[in-house]
Amino acid sequence: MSKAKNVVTLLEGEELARAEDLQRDLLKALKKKSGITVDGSGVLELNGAVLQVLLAAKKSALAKGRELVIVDASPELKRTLSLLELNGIFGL
Amino acid sequence: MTTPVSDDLFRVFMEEANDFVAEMEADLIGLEADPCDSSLIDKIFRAAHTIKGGSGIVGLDDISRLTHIMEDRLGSVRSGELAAGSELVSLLLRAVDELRYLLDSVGQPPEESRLRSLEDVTEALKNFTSGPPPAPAMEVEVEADEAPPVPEAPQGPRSFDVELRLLPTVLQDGVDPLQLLTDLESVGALEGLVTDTSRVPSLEELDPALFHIGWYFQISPEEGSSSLEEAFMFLSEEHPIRIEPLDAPELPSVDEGTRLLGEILVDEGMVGPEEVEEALTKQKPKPLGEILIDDGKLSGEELSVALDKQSKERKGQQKAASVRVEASKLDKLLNLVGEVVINHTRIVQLSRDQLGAESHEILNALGDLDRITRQLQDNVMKVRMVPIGTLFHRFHRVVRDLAQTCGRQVKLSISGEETELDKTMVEVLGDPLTHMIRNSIDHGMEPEEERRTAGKEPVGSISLEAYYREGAVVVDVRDDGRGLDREAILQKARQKGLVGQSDPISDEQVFALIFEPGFSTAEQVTGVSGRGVGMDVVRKNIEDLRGSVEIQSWPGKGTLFRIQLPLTLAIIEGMVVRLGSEKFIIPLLTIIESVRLSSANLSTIGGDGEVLRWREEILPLVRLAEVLKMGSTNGDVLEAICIVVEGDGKRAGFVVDEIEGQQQVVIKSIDTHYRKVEGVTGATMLGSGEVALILDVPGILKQVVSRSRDSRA
Repeated sequence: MSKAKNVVTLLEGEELARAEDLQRDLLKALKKKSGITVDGSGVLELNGAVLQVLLAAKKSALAKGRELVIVDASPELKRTLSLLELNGIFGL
Repeated sequence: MTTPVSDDLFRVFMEEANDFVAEMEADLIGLEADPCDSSLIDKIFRAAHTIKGGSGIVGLDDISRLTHIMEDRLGSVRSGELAAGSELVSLLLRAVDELRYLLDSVGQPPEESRLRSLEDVTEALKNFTSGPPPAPAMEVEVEADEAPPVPEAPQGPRSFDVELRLLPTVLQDGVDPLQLLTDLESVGALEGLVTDTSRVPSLEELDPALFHIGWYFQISPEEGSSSLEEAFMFLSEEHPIRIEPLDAPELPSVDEGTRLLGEILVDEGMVGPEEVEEALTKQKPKPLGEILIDDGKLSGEELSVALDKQSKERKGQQKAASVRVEASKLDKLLNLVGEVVINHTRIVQLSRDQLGAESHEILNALGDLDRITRQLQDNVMKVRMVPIGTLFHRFHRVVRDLAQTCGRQVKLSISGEETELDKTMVEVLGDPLTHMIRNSIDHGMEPEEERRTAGKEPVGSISLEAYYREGAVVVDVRDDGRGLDREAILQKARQKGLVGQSDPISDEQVFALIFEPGFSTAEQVTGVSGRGVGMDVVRKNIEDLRGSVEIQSWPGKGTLFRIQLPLTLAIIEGMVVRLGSEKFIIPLLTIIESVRLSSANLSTIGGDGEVLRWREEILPLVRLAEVLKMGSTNGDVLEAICIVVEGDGKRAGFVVDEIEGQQQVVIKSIDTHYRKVEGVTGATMLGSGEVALILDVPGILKQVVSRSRDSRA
């Protein structure tokens, strides 16, 4: 996946800082014309702030007629998104 | 967790955690007495779990780690892998001590020795594997095949509809909403969950520090609604979370979460379900327990154990229906209400003085207002009142540990735990009670052998009892030990010059000597134990609360400490007295009676020392105007009135010009606005708008007695 052009990687780190970094990366990705792929392989634990950034990015991507999907989701990420019934909207 | 948490959240955590620690301690002592009590095991487990969750949120990792391992061990007890034997209980109690220390020392650098002790306890708990689950009681084991099956609870878990909507600032409080959902999942399955993303803005507009996601779901808590409440415990009440039961309770007459008596009897294996069924058919109009006793299927003792359990479960449920409010907010409210009462009284007086008879309608209306404001005052005061039980139950641990240390067997019984008194008093009373109980066990309680020889029960008994009497709260600390040694105390007091060699002295006066400073040293009074280690501090603490303490003791039978306390610290009943043009308040609790002075009851000793002959006593006469440095009033003593007062074990006659009457006064501290004034404890505003100082009777008595001693020397 890392060879794809418009990839944003979800990283571990402190909650709000992680969300801010992700917002910055996703805003950059949104400026490109291709769909966005989020690499979820390294996520050990999803937190609320990061989830919200992902949802906001999905909203912005849809408004621009682009796709935003999560790929290679770690089992933890899959489990949380499925608990929240959000796996479908991220293409999982 | 590095996100800073809000002060409010932190405060809520600290308050809740301290309460849980106190409960855990009491419940562990209870568990030691009844290692099979599954409801206690569950309760302790939940307390550890809740503290763990909260400490994680507020970033207190040491506490989180310790409670995690406690929860783990308790989980093994719940699943039957481990027995709740006294070794494990002792270890868990040590962990509770460490928890308390960690909570007390938040924000301070940890002491090396405590870190080691924390490490020891954590390791010991981690490695604790010994002790199989206790075998069932012998008779049950023998008839194992016939042991009654534990029936399914008649009611399934109740379901709740939850709308989890959080304040946008929730992340700034260090709360992760997803973690909250994960915690809720452990309470019960989240069914029909819908994530509401409608309020989430676009990425360009999003401020990542503000949270906008909401959830709707249904949950059926496996361990009752209290576990659901606990999951939200560390969230501020401002979050607009909605929790509604989906179904009404089937049995509205019984509190939700409280087992019916029949269920407890079956759960405890005391009777079989079919016997309960049979008894239920006969129940009306008799209670179930009585029918089972009549039928010979249950003993009175078994019924009392089961009823006790039911009462505890009900109490646990009632406790959930409360709101935490900062004590300082209540103080402010009480202060304001006090001001309203004072101003109201002023308005009534002014209306009477200035409007005359035609103003009766206004006065009637003011009369109604008076009633309402006094009710308001009473109610606000009641809000500050807390049951003394929370304090009493702390002593189970004190008694257990001390009895072990002293090699005694002692049982603590508690009654009147629902008696309420001012929160501040409950906090301050802890130390004096600890002191008395320590002394009772350490010095008063005989070793087992000595008790047997004396024909007493081998297990000593200490009781704590609280009750209301004549507008005050009385706390009795009673033991059935050897009692105080009157002669030894008297001898020591004579050696120290506290009483004359030949002074006649009553039992009450002799026992009160142990409260004298200097009398109370660790030194033994005689071969038989003397009490008195720091007992002067005990009396001071109680008198600081405007209370009093007296002792009764019976040789070989035991000792009773009777503490009397006012219901509240904010308001006192006082006598308004006049000295010259100034008015003062003498607290009613210190007044014995008032007497007219005459040449028959007045004498002079040694030149200038005036004394009052009162009943069989000779009391120093105190000219208040002089003591309070007001210049010379009380000129002709025979024109004045004398009030006989008592405080700190001393008595005297206070000379005043006039008694104006008795009234309730709201105490205002003057220390905070001015400075400590000798002889005065505070001030109040009278209905007339005048300010009156409240006299510190024990303080004045102390001053007078030391002066008279000096002049004698």
